[in-house]
Amino acid sequence: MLVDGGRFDWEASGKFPTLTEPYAGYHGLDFAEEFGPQALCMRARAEGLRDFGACMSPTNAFHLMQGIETLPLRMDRHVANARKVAAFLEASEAVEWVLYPELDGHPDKELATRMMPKGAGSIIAFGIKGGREAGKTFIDRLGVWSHLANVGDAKSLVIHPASTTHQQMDAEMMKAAGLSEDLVRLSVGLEDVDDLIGDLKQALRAATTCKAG
Amino acid sequence: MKFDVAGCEAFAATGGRPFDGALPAILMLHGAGMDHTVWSMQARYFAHHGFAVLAVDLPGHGRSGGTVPETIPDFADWCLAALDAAGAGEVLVMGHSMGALIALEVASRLGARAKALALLGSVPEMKVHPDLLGAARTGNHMAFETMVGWGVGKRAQIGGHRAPGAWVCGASMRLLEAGDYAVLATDLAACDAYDGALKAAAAVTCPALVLSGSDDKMTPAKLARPLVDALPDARTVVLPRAGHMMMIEQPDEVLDVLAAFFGALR
Repeated sequence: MLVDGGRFDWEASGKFPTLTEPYAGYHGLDFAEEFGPQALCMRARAEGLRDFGACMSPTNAFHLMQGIETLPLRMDRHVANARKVAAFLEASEAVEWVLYPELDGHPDKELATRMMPKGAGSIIAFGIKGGREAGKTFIDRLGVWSHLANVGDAKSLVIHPASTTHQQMDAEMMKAAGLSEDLVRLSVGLEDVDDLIGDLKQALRAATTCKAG
Repeated sequence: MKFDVAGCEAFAATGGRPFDGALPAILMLHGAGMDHTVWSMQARYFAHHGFAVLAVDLPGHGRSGGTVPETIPDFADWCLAALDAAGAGEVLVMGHSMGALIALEVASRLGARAKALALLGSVPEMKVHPDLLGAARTGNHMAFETMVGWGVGKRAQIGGHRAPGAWVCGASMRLLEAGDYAVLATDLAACDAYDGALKAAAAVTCPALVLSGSDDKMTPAKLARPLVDALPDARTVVLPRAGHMMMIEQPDEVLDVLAAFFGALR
């Protein structure tokens, strides 16, 4: 998606010759000269949409618009759920550490408070007691959380890199990459947070034999 | 293209083809505070269909240097100089809003050299509300907001331009913002003060077209009537659901009307 504010001075920047000089791909058209503030918008339309055909269907456009229009409502819920999940994990005996920018001790807490005053999103990482094996079992035991490498979905997602995306790495290699064998990443969705926490609790219990919280 | 008019560098868009004085020239004149980009959708068509296009930036506007003329007749003087500097022969003159008033003056003075005159969004008396004039003079953003609010027709205000992604209100606002308050104030004062439209119209000898938008609140179609009566050979077209910024609100429809009018004269 592209939103052109129409305020950027392409010519003054001197960095965009395909917008400010005759463009061979479009019959020598100089977009900045021809369209002024609409230079980028018109090139994106003419080339991107009309020529290359990167034009979405009306149904897709409807879904995208509906998604954007309801984003603030969803983000409120994402953040509210994430905060509760982070608090649960912090208190859990089965968890070694929790990384969420709003928590005390996070290296970027101050930055997050300043830049994301309404909430630091819904991505949480935590270390599970028992390392690689415990992480694997934990994922297998989850019921509500979906095992996916994505983030930002409406449903809650979880991944344990040491047993999936980074399984070919040993502990040392993972450390060098800024990961650890016990790392589990959550993308907290919109479900009832009690269901999410309940599911985490039973899976942690099964994977670590600790009292999960 | 860049060229020299009365010792100052001037700019005119030529629609993607070099200006050829042997072809009938179409002089396109933009409105107050605007520039040649308002004709983007029409200039290219005519340049590729047998005409030499000269969509100028009036002095002090867009890419043209020089100081802004203070009266409509002064603007017309500059246009005549620009036509000669570009090497134009026969001329079809068209203008929008303030540009339409200038076009009237230009056509009346060109005599037999003028082959056609197209006036878009024009009325013989273009009185400017003191609040708008005052806002422009004091550099108040309200000047732009007023122009966009009144200038863009209801249909285009809602959105849904035929070209997906194009937004008439936003584009008009950025175009005005790219200009200068003082330039806009001078333009508006020139419109407000000009009282020679009917006299100029009576002196026009070529066929004329008066193109209005049914939803134009700045230059309402009904107020164009005296102009139509004063022109010796005039026809009128009122575009349904179009506002004052008709050539960007409804580029295809405006082009259809202009192409039929200019084409029939060739």
